[in-house]
Amino acid sequence: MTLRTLLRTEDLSVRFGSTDALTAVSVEIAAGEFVAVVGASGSGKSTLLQCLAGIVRPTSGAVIAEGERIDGWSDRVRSQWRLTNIGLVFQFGDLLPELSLTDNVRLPLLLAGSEKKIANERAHEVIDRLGISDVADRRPGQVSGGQLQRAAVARALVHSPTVVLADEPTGALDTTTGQLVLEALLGAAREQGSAVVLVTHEARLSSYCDREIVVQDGSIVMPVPS
Amino acid sequence: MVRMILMSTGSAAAVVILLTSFGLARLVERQDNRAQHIAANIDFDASTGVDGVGSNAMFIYDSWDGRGMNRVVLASDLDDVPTPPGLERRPRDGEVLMSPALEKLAASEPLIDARFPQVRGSHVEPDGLIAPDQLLAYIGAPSDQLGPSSLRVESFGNPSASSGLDPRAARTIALLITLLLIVPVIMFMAVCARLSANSRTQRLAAIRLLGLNRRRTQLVNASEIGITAAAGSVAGWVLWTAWITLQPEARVGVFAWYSTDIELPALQQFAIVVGLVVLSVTVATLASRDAIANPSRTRRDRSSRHVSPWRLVPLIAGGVVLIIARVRADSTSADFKGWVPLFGTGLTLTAIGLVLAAPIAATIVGRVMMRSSSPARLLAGSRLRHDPAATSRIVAALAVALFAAGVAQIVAASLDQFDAENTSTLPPIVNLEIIGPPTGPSTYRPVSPLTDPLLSLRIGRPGHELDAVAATCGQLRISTNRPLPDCVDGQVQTVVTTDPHYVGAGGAPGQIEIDAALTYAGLPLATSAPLDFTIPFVDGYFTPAIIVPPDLAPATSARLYVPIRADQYDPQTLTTALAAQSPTAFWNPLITDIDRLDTPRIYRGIIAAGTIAALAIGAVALTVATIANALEHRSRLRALSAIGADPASIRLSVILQTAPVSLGLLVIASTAAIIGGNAYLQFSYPGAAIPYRALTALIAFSIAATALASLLAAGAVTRLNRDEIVRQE
Repeated sequence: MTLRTLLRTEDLSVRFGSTDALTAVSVEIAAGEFVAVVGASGSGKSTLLQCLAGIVRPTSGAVIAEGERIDGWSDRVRSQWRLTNIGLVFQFGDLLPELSLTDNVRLPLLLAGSEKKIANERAHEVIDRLGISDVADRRPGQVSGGQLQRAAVARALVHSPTVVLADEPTGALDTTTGQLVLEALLGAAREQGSAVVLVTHEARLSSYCDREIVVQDGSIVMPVPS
Repeated sequence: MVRMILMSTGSAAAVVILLTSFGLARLVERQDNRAQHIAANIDFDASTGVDGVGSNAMFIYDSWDGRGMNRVVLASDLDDVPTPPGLERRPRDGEVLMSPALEKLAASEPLIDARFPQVRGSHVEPDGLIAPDQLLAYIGAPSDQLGPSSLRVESFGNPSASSGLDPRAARTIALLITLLLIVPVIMFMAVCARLSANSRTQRLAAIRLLGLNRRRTQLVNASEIGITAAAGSVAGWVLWTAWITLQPEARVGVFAWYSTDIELPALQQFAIVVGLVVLSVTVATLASRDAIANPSRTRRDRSSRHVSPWRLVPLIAGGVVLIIARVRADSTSADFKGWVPLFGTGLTLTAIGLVLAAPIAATIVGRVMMRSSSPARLLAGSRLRHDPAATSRIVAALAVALFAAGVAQIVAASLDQFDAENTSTLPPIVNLEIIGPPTGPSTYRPVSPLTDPLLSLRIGRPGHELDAVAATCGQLRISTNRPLPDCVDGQVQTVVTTDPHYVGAGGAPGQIEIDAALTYAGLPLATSAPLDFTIPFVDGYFTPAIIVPPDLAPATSARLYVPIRADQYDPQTLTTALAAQSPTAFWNPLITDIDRLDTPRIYRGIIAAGTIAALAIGAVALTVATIANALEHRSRLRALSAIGADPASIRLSVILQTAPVSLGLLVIASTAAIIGGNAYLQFSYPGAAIPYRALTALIAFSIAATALASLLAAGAVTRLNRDEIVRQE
């Protein structure tokens, strides 16, 4: 069975000043698949992720989401698309420090226009699933790193995105905690059928994914056979 | 680096403003000294009045467009005439030595130019002037051309001369200048010292965690702030010194001064420069104390401390004290010495209270906003609750500036009342119109712009002239607020005067002389009953005997017709006629010297300059802090953008973080200003009205500054968002 392509790039190039961050990169993300993007620090992984999320506009090439080219859209339209279709997890969680974990988790729903009550119910549902109910009323500065990242995962999943883009989600955690967070992320994503693009420089984490894309000096290279 | 540049710039601006404001506070005294320096010592006993014997000078006071214009006619044929300050020599016969401002005015205004047909000599130097815009002329003329109001000048430079400054205005305005500029500047420096406070606190905590002890970490902090503030302060001092050196004259609106008059003693300059550095270091070190003491907690939990309701106490206390001052202002037993400290305490407490209460306002607004499901309000509200001090730093300087400026404007309104109480209300003789050679026999002395104040008309035989004002009885009743039962329109009437310099020695014109003069002039004789009022004396040497001549005073008294004999219809008279065509140029027949006109103008100038400076400081502080606050939260904004927050929502949340709190504080500040200003008015000039229009303008400016700062910050957010992504790469 051929999986439906959710996101793809065509000859994507990104240049920051005089630096080529990405050069002619073409990738495809299919519905429900888990893809690891691996490579050394500074290889362009995060740039690729941010292009897929519509945060960074490519210098040339195209980003296509379900047949529509999104890189030409305005910032406002791309934000709206991201809010509906994409969940993002960053290395340090990037939760808003002044909001409680619950408020952080329900924020995407409120931004999307959900009613407060519905947003609360859905947020608590995801928080329960990720096992952080007991600290849900605390602010990010008052919980552990693992709990923080679980909350970040909950925020990425709360609006049931078709794709979750995770940028080094376990990079700031110890191995055990990182593994727990990653399993929580992948488990929850699998439950709701979201595809996951996992950016990591740790090769061992790619074993959790269906396939891996290796980025080196801004270009895709063939993965080294294990 | 951006923060350090902002702070240095702020320090430089603060030094310039403080040096200028302290200098301005001294300016009244300096200009008063100048007025004393050029004041003449007059020997009244030797000034024989009507005969002019013994006199060697005559002082003529006019005004032009609200500015005093003084002419001093010095006898050119006498040896005992002292040389006025600012001149190398006395004016020769037929020569006029003008101040630069008068010469400039004469060059641009034909009516003025026509009044000085004499040969123009050198300028009056700054040593002989109160301010660079003073209109002053020394004219040389033969002693026999000096009129009956001439005097004997012994010397120039009279240290005992008093400008008659109103002590109520002087002390209150000195207090306000301090509040107007010092408090906002201190707030501004506090804002500069705490720019990007969270980032700095985090950095200091990180340095501490690296292993530096408390003292050394605090030293790093203090050094960083101290060097930055010192660099800015020294730069500001250099700029200020260059300014007063290269720009010897300065002007704000109608208020001008010599730059050297605002120069401060070296020790005071040093104290200001060093004081600002010390203030910055103190604010920065005190604010970072907790972070350095508990670095681990600081790094982990960035939430702010609880905002204590006790912060409201100074504001409430200040309001109560101002209300007490207002109530006591109505009391007849209120004495000045006791009331001013009460008023000052109220103002100071309120200003401090506004600063301290700002975080409470931020917390309250944050709580209200967090009840909303709107993402922008939720984000702004949570930010306000999380870090109320950040927003407080942003808005407090402007709120304090508005409060101080509002009170100052209300006090300035009292100056109008001061003017009203001290300015003659005699109906102005607007047009002095020469209607050509008279048909009948007349021996009116020609009205000479050389020797006569334009509208102090003299009639009668030479040596027996009488100063005259043409007015109807109705106008006299209004101007004197007296019933004047004996006044009859159409009849010449004399006025009872008590001028000691005119009584005796043949100085006072008697009824016989008046009747003789009137008969000689062909006018009806005076009524037997004198009018029942006394002309107000100004400085004791100007005493008109008022006559109400029939036919010379039309019902409106808008025009004064002066018959001139054909052989006296000369160019000077023509000059007078030309000058008379301007209905508003020359109107005040009474003396207008520094205490009657210029002092309120100086106060108004200082208040205007202070108001502009204070609001500018507040607005700059607000803008700098708002943008710096947005800069500090790059990662937060990136996170918001990444999860798909609409850019408009992000921008709105940035605006909502500042605007509502700022507006709330501005309302409190303007209300407090009205209470405080009203207390002052009730105490000093109950008849003066609160200048709501000026207050509205101040509030509008403050709101506009808030809106602009918020919009700039919102714009910066959009830009930062992109830059942050690039930086991440």
